Amino acid sequence: MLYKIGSDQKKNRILQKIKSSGNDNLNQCLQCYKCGGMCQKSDKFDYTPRQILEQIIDGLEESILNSRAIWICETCNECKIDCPVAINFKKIMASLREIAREEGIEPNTEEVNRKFVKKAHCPKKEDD
Amino acid sequence: MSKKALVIGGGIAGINAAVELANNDKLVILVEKNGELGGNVNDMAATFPELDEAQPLLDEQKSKVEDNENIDIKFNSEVISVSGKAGDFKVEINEDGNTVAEEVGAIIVATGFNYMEPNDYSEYGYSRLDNVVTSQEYERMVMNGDIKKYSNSNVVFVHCVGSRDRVKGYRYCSKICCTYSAKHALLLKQEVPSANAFVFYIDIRALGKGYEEFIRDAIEDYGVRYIRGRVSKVINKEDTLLVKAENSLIGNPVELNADLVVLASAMEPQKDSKELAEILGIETDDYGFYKEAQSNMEPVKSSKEGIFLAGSCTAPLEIRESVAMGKAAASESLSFLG
Amino acid sequence: MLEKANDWSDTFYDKWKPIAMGFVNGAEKCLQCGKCTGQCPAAAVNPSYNPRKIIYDLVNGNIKRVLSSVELWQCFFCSGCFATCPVDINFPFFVFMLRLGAMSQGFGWEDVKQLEKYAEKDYLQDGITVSPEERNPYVIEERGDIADIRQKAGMPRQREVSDEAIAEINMISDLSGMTNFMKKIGGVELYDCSKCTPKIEEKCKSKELPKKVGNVKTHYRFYNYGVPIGGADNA
Repeated sequence: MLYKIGSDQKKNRILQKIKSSGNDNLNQCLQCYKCGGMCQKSDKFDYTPRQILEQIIDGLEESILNSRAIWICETCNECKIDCPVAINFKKIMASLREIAREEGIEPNTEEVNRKFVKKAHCPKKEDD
Repeated sequence: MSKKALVIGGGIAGINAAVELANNDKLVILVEKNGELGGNVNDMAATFPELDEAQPLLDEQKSKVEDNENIDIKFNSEVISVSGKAGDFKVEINEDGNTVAEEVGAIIVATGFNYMEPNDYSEYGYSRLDNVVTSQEYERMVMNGDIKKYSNSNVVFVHCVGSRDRVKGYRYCSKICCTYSAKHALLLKQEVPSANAFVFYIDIRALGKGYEEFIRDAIEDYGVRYIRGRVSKVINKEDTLLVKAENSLIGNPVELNADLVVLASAMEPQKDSKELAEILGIETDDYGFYKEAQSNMEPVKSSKEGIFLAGSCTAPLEIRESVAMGKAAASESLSFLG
Repeated sequence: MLEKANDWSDTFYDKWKPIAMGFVNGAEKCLQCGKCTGQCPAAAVNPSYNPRKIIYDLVNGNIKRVLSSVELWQCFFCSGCFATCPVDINFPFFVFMLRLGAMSQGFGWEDVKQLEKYAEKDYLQDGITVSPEERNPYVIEERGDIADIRQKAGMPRQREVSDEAIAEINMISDLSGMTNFMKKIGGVELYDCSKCTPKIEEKCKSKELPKKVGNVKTHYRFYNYGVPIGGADNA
């Protein structure tokens, strides 16, 4: 659906939050589609990682937080290994889940990543 | 006795060809249509991929020609007729209304290109809306400081206006627009850091040394926002312009309020390029660019012996390649000058 | 959704191309620039409709996805995309062809069925193309009732068509095959998909439909190009 690009980047809450959690190389993304192609779970995703990234930059908060992809992601870190500019997608997904939790958004899929459930809904514990 | 050489066009390619010949002790006639040397580079604020100021660089080149005794510059003049064969051409030149006859050994054609006027693009509203400008006009705005008034505003750069468009423009890719749009966005960010730059692209075609890095720097270090999708419409809405496009990476239509829209208009052949080709007896392609004798092995030879091509009268080229072509054409023509 | 590229085929496109000759430019010229979607009024209000993606699927031969989609039926032929296309692709014409293709596969009959009463009553009986009952409330508010305007101008409230002309319209309808088509629509019945299981769905999708006049069945279609507002999986 039609959306508007905000001129004020400071209003882009989701981008600020993800940048502050240590992902400062978001705009290095080449949109090369490698991540979506290699992900084991990409057939279940509604958005591939690069699409989520594009939406973060444009601040499409509602559509990201209500997506299935952020809950399905296994945080296996394989996309970071293959990524030509080494975007840490695991961390981004973790922060997105954190924000979704704060907003009180429940996972809208039955295939929630088990690792995430086991670790008491705390995305920070997912880090190595 | 060595013969003179004729260089048609006093742009950056013509200047370099003339200087190269003069340095080899040849007499050169430089025919320039306008009253000033430099051609399209005169409208340029800066060069890419290094952001050097273009005018000092051009002045340096111009002074090389103007100070040289071997070069006879004919301003406001045009070639009327050419006869004879390679090594012995008889040329008539119209200089300020007077016809001058000359004998030359070789001819270098460096007539350059023209920026397309995107008047056919009614959806972009060029010449109808005030704040829609072409890239050429934008460069002038940077040079005379008009750009400074766009603080805290959104500036949109549109790729492929006239290029890669078989309906209203040309089928070819103009090659340099991707990189010069990045240059424009960078200039904006440097002059007015508070402004936001948005670039709408289809693919990024950065085919040159350092171009890819230049564009990535614009995105990563200066925060220029690149959105994949051709702009569909520019609508006048109250004080601002409403830009409509699709962000095809997500698949959603997108809207943006902009204060200035810059159209990267295509490079087209000079309007009279086919007439000149008829006078010279050389071939052009369908667009009006001059044909090389062999596109890979003979890039500077035209289809007629003794006539050489240099610069963007053959295809859209950047400054660096035009200079190289001008010098190559000069060295190839030496064999016809005795 | 993961797609398997070896399931794709270009037989559909090859089949339709000769018919399209002279009307449209080939869809393979598409640059995927997105200019069509950017100006599309349907795409602006609809989260999943996207002309660019439909062309992409048409060229790549992923024709099943196009034909079974709801999105195919969301174009309303404003032709803005054709006007703005840099390579002159007549997308509305493709939509027209694809809809015929979809109907031959048994999709989308319910949308066509909605037009049945207008065609039968207003067009074939009265000879007018605009239904006098259905009026645009926006126009009534802005300009007033067209019947009142006609009356003020000294004309009858409704347009009158002579019997001769109506007979002519019916003759054209017979000759062009429209009458036959109308009979076909009259026989359309909708499957009850509320009791559908994945197994039946699989069968239903692959099954060829009876082409007999008066006995056309229609399938439910799917949002194949994204999630609609309600998040439902089918229409």
